[in-house]
Amino acid sequence: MEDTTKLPIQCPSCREALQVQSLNCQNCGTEVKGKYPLPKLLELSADDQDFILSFVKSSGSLKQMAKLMGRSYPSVRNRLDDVIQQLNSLDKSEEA
Amino acid sequence: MMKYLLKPFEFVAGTKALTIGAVVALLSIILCSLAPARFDGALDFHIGVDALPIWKLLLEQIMVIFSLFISFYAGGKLLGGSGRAIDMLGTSSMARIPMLLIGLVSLALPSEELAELGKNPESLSLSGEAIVTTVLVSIPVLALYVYYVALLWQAFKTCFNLSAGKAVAVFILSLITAEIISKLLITIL
Repeated sequence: MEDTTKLPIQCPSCREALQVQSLNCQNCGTEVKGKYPLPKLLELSADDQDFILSFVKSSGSLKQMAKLMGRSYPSVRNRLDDVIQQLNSLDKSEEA
Repeated sequence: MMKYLLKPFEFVAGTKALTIGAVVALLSIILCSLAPARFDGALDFHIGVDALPIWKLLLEQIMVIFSLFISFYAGGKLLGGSGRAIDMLGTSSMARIPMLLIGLVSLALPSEELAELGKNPESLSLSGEAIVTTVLVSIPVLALYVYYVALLWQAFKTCFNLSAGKAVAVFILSLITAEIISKLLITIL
């Protein structure tokens, strides 16, 4: 059965970014604990992550993405600009 | 269905929109030659005018679309947007669909009586039927004008990834500029 659980990225209590504290191996049961910040890409929404994956799979061609998504070129371009803006603001909050 | 009517340029832009805009322009020329009528400005449509040759009607259409494109493209660049020229040209020409519909609806107007009233406004010689028809036709015409401006705003917003605020002021300025440019170009014609 397909796993439909989504990785939470924001604290439901104070809305701060969540960090990874433990990882385990499903093969041998080894557990690793520490404090690992989420990779920047995982701090984006699931929709934005899917968008980035589609962008890479389309070899960075917005034209091709527009065809696949059934959207106009400027519409896809605007979505990419919004994702870039989000990543930039994540960079800024990290520096702060 | 509503998203295609209210935000068509999220789905169509570039050469596809330009092709649709060209078809709209062609149909507008046919309408003007049969009515007779004129689209003699970015926001203008007049019925009951003297018939113009097809080549002049074609030039008027080109000048109107060009004036819309150049004004909104300059406005978008002024706001620091990175939109493509082909998208702005295509969407602004496709946005003229409501103007074509205004032309079609206006065929119901008593154009000869209105033209006569225009020449002699003191005469006040409109028949009761003409007044009622004019008032009834005005309602969809006004609604279509609002829709036309809304589509131009959608075109501008989508092509340059803009939100309200400063963009609204630049949009209004660009629209007025487009009207002025189109009027000047058509006068030279």
